[in-house]
Amino acid sequence: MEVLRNLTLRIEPGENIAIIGPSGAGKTTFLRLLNGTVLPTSGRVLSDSVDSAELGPTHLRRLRSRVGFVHQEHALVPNVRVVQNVVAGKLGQRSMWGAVRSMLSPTRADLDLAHELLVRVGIGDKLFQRTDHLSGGERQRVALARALFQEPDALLADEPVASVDPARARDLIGLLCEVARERGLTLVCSLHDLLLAQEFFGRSIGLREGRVQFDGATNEIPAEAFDDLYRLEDAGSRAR
Amino acid sequence: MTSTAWKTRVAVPARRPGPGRGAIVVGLLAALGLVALWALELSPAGLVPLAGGRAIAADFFSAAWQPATEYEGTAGIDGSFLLEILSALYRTVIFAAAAMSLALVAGTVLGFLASSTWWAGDPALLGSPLRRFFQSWLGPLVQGATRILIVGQRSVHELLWALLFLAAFGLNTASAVVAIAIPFTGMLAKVFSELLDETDPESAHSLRAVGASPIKAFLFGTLPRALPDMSAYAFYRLECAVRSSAILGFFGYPTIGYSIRLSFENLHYREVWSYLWALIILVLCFEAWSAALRRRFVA
Repeated sequence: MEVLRNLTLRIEPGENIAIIGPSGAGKTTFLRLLNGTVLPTSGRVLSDSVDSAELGPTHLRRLRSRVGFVHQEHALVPNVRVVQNVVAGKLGQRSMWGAVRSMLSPTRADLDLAHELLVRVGIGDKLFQRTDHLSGGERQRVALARALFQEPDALLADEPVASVDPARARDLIGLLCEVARERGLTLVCSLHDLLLAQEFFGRSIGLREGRVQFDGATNEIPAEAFDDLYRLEDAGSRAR
Repeated sequence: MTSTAWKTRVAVPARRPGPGRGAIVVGLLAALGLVALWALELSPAGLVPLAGGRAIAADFFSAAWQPATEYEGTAGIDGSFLLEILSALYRTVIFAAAAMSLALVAGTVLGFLASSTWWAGDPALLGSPLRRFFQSWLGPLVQGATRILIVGQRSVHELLWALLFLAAFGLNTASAVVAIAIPFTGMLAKVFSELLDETDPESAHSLRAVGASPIKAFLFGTLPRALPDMSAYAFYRLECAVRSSAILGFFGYPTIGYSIRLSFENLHYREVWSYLWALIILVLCFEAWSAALRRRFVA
């Protein structure tokens, strides 16, 4: 099955991009192509002019470890402490023994960095709480702290605000963009909310049925293009 | 408004689904149960003792409320009866704990090998032919062999293993421990592998995205999520091991079953009941302990 078709685009370091499109448009697959958790069946994905499909397992894992991926909050391990979920961000950069040690008893340096990042995302006091005692929005911040703990070159976020209310969603996306800007990280974030894209992202890419519908500066994209993106196929089931 | 609502109401489909296959299976199972009761000519009359047995039954059950605190027949026995109960309990727990510690290690290893999540490789990492061979041939082969081994261990009860070992190696401690450990390994492995496979794989996937190898993703993503259920089940099996260890005493191993048999053969029913109450209290203690642990895991 082809998920994405005729996709040609270039992302510059430090760019701030929103991927917009209805469910099933291929947004997640697109993001996973970027960090090498999915390889293309045809075509190429180059990061720093290296083809991810030609990398051996070790180098591919190294590529992944340099890209922070903010998952939805339910991807965290619920029944361990917040600190363990954050420190897990460096699992790809550690030996097996180092990984076991850091998960069972993190070093002072790990704790300091984890705490600093949690303070940055606004939940510094939750360091030693059990993750499933946190609210959905707080867990999403833990996911962001984990991605930052990787000390990545780029941040990818897959619908990070899918399960929080609109006011918190705006806060979270604002935080994500701020953190990316202050660290000089490239940010690619998939979203459903056009208003959030317009407010926070310089560039928007519209995906529909695996194809790019538009790609450009967010403020130059006409309103009809957004409407077309979410238009339902079946006229009979249209809401309006 | 109301008239359009009426017009757009959707009719119930003419063909409703009849009783499904599930209902038929449940019906057949119920019938099987009834047939079994009929075939065994089971009736409550069987529990009413014959005239001669009535006195024995009365003796036995009335002893339940007055368990012995010292030996009933004092001839030739030194030492405290209560101490003997405690040491019989101790030996029972020791046998169970030894068997469980073997079963837990072996059951965890086999449980990993029998689960699909352990072998679920990373599709994007299948570069070399060696890895591909590992993924598509060796993995399924080891997994299948492990599952067959587990079924073999489980299908023979620990009492049968004990009988076999008794015949082969004679009455020694190791054969009792191994007899319990074998089927318990199989049961732990089966349940562990199922719990691991039912765990939400999302955590492991998110760890692969940070560059963790499939094994690290399993150990730090899947395993911690399954651990509360796995330890609750292990605790339940420990309780079962205590009961099995007690029963092995009837074959002559020095657990509480041996003491019960001796007292029973001497018609010392009050002693029997002392042992039984002690066993019940022990199992209740285990139950309280595991409930406390469960609360801590869930909270």
